[in-house]
Amino acid sequence: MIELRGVTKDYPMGEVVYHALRGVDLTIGEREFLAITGPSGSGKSTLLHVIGALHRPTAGEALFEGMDLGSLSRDELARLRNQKIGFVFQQFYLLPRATALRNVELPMVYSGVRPVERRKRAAASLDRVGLSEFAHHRPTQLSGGQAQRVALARALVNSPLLLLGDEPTGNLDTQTTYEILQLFVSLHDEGRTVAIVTHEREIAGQATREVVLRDGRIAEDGRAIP
Amino acid sequence: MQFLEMLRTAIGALRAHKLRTTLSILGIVIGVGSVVAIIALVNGATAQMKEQIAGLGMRTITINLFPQALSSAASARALTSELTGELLAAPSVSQVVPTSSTRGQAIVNGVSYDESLMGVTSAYAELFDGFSPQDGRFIHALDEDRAVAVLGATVAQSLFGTENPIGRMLPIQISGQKVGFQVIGVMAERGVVGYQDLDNMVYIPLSTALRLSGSRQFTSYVAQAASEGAVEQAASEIEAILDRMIAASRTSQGTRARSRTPYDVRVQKEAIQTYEESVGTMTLILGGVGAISLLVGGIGIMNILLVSVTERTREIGIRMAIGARPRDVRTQFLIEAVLTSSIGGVLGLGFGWLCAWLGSLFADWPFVVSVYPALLACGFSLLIGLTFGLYPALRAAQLDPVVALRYE
Repeated sequence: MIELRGVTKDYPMGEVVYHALRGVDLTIGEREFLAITGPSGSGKSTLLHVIGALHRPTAGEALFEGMDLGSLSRDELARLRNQKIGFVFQQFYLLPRATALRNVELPMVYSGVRPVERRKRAAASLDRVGLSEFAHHRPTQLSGGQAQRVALARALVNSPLLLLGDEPTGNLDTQTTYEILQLFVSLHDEGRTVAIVTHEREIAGQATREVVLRDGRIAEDGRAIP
Repeated sequence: MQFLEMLRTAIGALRAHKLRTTLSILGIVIGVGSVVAIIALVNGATAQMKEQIAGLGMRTITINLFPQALSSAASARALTSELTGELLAAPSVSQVVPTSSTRGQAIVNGVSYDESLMGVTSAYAELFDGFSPQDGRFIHALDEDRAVAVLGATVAQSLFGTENPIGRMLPIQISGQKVGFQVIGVMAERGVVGYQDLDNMVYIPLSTALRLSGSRQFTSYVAQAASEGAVEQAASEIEAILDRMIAASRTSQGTRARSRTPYDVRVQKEAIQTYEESVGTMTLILGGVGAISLLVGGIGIMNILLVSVTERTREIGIRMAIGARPRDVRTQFLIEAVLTSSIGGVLGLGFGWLCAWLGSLFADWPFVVSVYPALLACGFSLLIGLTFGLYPALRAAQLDPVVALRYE
């Protein structure tokens, strides 16, 4: 599904250039549950952003279902993120002034789903993460775990092939971390490809495969030890 | 993303900052309002002026002679009945009334009032429709050289109030001498015609006026062409007669030629043209000021939008992360700008018309609403929104999703 060949990513940081990825080769197959781990600054998030079509690589090839992400326009990348990828972030990134339902509707707004259909699907997606009762709450009225479920509902609403989590439990307590993790596991069991960036051993332990990054390169790649 | 969705999002964003949005809109309201008000007021004033000028009759020709520019011989002849006769004999001229205006102090109950005195002949009242005595009578040919006066409606009111002035003795001080005038008539209200307020005038026989004020004074004729079509022809005939008169007096006296044309022959059409030209310039200047305030309003919108883009950087990142295309983001901000400026434009139109209406009430002008400049102002406000919204919108659209998400 995903194929990275010699991917590098540089950020200009004022005068100097920061090399976040220094040549990554990685293939992610369908229905894999991949955990990306590694110390801070090792390039985990950047790797996930490249996989999730948020970043184009500086050099190398990043193929998503055979499409070269480097050669797609910004509009085409947006379309890809909208249709095929669901993203969940550590900080949830919900629109603060919109209700949970409206937040979940948002991806469908950009894919042109009619309002009635949109509301129906958003409600179903909220139901899937167990938050039907909170449809009309705003993010500020939700706990961290509830907010992350809304974000998950939003990520799922366009039925993406690939579900990505950038430290999705980083801001949550142990109990909610467990609950969110269970959601990821069950979504994987339903047949989705999942990739998560994490520090946490339990999460990596649930994955079918763990990739460890160090200094922008893959240091280890293998099955996680349960 | 559908347009209605974007509109909904834009309204939501604008409502989230009510004060800020209101101030942005206010900038446009003032800009559009001032342009609309200025145009409406000028149109009202022009309509009023045209009505007044046209009230003189399109056949009317005014001839002003400047005594300072005439040789004394020509000046002496200027108001003679001989010249009047010559002018009247011109084929395209049907009526000629010589007038001589001066100022004097009317004294009533020991209080002196500064009044305009107009020396006229009996034909003067016939020049204007509806200019007839309300009480008593107008000046008659038999009144020549007599000290009689006919009061305009305003003058009668201010000097005598509700009292009937007919038959009263009215002492008037002219050029240092005090003469007692007998009031023989009061004219009905007629208003301003041409450049003169017919109601605010004391009419006395022309010969009396000339005797009292001396001959070196501002003098004029009011003539009428035989028909509206003959106005230009009549004017050139009059000019020819005046030129001949001036040339004749020069050769007889041998005085040096004077550089300034000593007379001014004016037809109403020209007066309207002159007025429109001067008003056109004023309109341009005032309209320019209005346009500048509209521009300032546009800059206000841009400023607020730039702030808004910065503030909502993370929101933009979120939208992009879940699939908003750069052009969706751009359009969203453009809609916000255009919405702000359009609301401002429509409100400004109402505000401008209200101001113009109040102004026309105050100045007693007709309230003229013209659709074309109104549409132009609204269209322009839309354009302002688009123009000044474009840069912030492009800036928003060019944000990198990851950078935008991480923006604090």
